[in-house]
Amino acid sequence: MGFQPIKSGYTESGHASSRFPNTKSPKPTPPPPPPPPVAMATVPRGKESRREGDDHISRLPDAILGEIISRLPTKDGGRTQAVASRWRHLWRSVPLSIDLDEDPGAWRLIQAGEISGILSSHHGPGRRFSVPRRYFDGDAHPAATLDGWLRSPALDGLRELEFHYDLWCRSPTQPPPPPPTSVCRFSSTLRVVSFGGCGFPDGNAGALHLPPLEQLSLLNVKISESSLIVSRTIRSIGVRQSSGSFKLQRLVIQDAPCLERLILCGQHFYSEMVISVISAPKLYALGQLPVEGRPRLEFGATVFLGSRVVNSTMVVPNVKVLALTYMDLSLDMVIEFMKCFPCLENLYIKMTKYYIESAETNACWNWDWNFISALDIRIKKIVLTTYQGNMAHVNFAKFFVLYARVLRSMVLEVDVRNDNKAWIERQQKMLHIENRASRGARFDFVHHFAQPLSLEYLWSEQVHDLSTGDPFVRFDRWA
Amino acid sequence: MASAGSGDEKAAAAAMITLISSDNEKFEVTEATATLSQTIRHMIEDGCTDGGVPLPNVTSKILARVIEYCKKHATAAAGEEGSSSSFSDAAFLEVDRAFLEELEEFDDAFLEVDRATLFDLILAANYLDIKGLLNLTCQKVADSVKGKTPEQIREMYNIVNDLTPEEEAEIRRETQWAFE
Repeated sequence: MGFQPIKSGYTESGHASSRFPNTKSPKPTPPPPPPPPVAMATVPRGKESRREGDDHISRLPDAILGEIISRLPTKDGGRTQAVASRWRHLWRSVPLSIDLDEDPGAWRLIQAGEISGILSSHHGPGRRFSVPRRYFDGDAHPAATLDGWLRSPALDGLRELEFHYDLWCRSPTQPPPPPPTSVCRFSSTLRVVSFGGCGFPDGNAGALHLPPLEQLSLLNVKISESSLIVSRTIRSIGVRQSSGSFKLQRLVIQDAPCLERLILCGQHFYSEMVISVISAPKLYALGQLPVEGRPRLEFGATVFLGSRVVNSTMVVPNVKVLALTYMDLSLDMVIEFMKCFPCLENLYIKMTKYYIESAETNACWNWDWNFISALDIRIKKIVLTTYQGNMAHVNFAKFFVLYARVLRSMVLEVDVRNDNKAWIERQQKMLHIENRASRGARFDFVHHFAQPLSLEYLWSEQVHDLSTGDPFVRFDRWA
Repeated sequence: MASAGSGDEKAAAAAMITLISSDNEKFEVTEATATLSQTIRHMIEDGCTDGGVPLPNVTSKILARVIEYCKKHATAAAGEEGSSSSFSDAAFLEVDRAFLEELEEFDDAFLEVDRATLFDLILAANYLDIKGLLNLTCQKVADSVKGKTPEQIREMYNIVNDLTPEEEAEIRRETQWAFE
């Protein structure tokens, strides 16, 4: 069968890409590329013509050069206009990305006063605009400042908007500033939104309709009873409370047919905060539920307070990945979660109590076979972060060694002082690994040398990158 | 660490596709590997792969590297396609940390190539429409340009400056913020 010649060189479809792998990048509509100085490498050429001294970069079509330029920090991107005449128009031909969040090095840092200049030298459309807290330092009217930037035509058609107002310039009694009104200007194009340090006004005025939205982050945000973010396309939601000063009171996930991840970060959730999931049939990853008994998370009649189950009336079969945090590891509590989420496959648990003998022993002498078989454990992977090997931890892990029949992997992340052969062999005996229910299961004692990272660095990858099925793969690095 | 490796066995039973490089070398790959290329995926869907897929824009040297990349990433990508149903794909949740780290190491090592090869890989990734490979290679070039002045970029990539001093002054005036 013949080969259909596919457009050689640049094809319009499907390969422009953003730095954010799960984000559908806007497809630039570049001007027709001028013929590259050297034809595409269709025929192998003689060695002498492949010297490092050749101008290989000019073999790339405009669209790819544009793609490379769009990956540069803003100032670096702008400067490429002065490389050569072919480069002069490339920066403007690529949708504008201003990511002030990245740190390009001190001398290239963009000052707040320069943002307007950048916006006025590009004709749009916009791809990404990300403004971290330091740009609102001491700003009494941050919404107006942000609005001023967002009205620029350079940001027309914006896909990704992230901002975080400064938290410290207002007294706690003042209501937090609202999101900029010009967000509505992008309601038909925004795929990624991160609101930080703002408050949504009550009533319909606070309702935001963002039909194509896929990723939503709420960082230190105040949402009260009746404000709403409406989107049926949303795929991941991240909520982070790192400051007690703003109180997200109620988040209702009413109709989210595409939602796959609901990720909570931080331990500063307000005690009266409620997250209520009414309909999210594809939600498969949930966590990390905080140690403290908050927030209140509701799936219909099933209610959790932090990592504790209060009511397990309603079974939620779609959740397959769960991350919990505990002071004391309690098998009873985790079993309650397994009843609520009967299809759970990957379970991550982090213990926050270090080297204190636990009050909990997790002894499972009182369970009979009927109970165990009724439980029908489907767990395939368990990761226990900060496993200490005390009686409570051993008994907890042993339960899954003996009863998790389809277990594939148990990872016990240990402290460096326990990262030795003798200790591990002793633990393996105590866990009865030779009597494991799942013959094919792996048991790994690991120690990670990496320091935990602040989630600010991990946020887009851990919360919103759907290309990795399991958001908690690097759970040990979650601060 | 053994993980997510079972994809190979599954794929072995699946259909094989023959890719033919510009210098007429034949490469037999699994469909899972080949379909990391959207271009080839569409051809398979259209049933135009009998007798091999000629790739007149890709030399055997580059095609071998591209296939190496696709083989490694085929398992990791198992869940990426048809993203709406990804969560129900069992293999999707099995990719573990060790495998991701292995993948990152592979990518770093994969990029240890001379410039001519790097740009050939970009062109091949673009032509074959392999999103991950295009991302990886473009990012490598972007990282090399990061923080550089126009003069440094020209020097690095042997680009001839064909701008007149007046044009250059004009660019600097129009985009003053970029040069401060």
